[in-house]
Amino acid sequence: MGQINDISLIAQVVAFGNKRAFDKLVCKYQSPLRRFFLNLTCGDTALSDDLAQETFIKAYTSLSSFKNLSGFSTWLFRIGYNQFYDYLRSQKETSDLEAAEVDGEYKVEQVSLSSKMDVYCALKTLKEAERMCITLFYMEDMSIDKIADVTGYPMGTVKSHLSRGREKMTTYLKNNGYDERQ
Amino acid sequence: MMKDNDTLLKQFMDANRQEMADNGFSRRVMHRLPCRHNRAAQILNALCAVVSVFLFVTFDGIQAIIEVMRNVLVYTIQHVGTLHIDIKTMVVLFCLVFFFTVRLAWQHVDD
Repeated sequence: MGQINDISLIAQVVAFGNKRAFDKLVCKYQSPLRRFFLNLTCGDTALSDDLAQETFIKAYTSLSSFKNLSGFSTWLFRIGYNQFYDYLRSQKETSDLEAAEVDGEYKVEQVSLSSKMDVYCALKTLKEAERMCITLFYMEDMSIDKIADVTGYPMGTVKSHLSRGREKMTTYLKNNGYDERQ
Repeated sequence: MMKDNDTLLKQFMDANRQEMADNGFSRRVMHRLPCRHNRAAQILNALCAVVSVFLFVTFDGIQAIIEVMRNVLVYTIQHVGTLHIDIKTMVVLFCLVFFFTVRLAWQHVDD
């Protein structure tokens, strides 16, 4: 039902240029998309909002190329995934030393914050690909084949990223006493 | 072991899953949206306009319009006494015109 509604809204945007229909799509998907970026950026609200905004604008400009092969949300997350990697590539020029300094400061700050921030510290222990798969699987409840659609990885690769990420995160959580808190 | 880890992680992520309040985000996105211009449609429109103007000038369009208007005027004057205006048709016509005008205006405000 939700998917039919999405398609009807997309048709209105593409055929009649109805911006109000696109607004409905933005309202519906802003929360999962911003949360996705927030987890990928380990809690950087401003950056995740910027990335989400760029993702929606890109989705709007290329909406006519949407083929509905795997649903609007998968397509949107795919654009978001590309947006995030474009951002990472653009940041490549920053020197490793600088990044290490920033990471160091960031880590100290995060450890001192409340348990709500634990999730970002835990996600920070993962590599980008692992964080991507873990976020989509556990936070956005995506199936493995949908994650493969979003990231373009083969299903086997998604499974191994999930397995490694799961192991690292649970080790981090157990080391930080999350297991005992339950 | 793997199942335990999976359950632990699921619990942890569920506890930390937050709904993001909009806080003007969608409004900011809508303000930044570019205009949707279909390049092919624009070219086709321009082409049709040029062809129309060319045909209008070639076949003496102004003279043809004046002639038609004169004929209509003459016909109306000659038959004004015998004309039957159907009120129902006029009301329906008026409603339709009103509806399309409002819709057009609404779309214009929307954009």
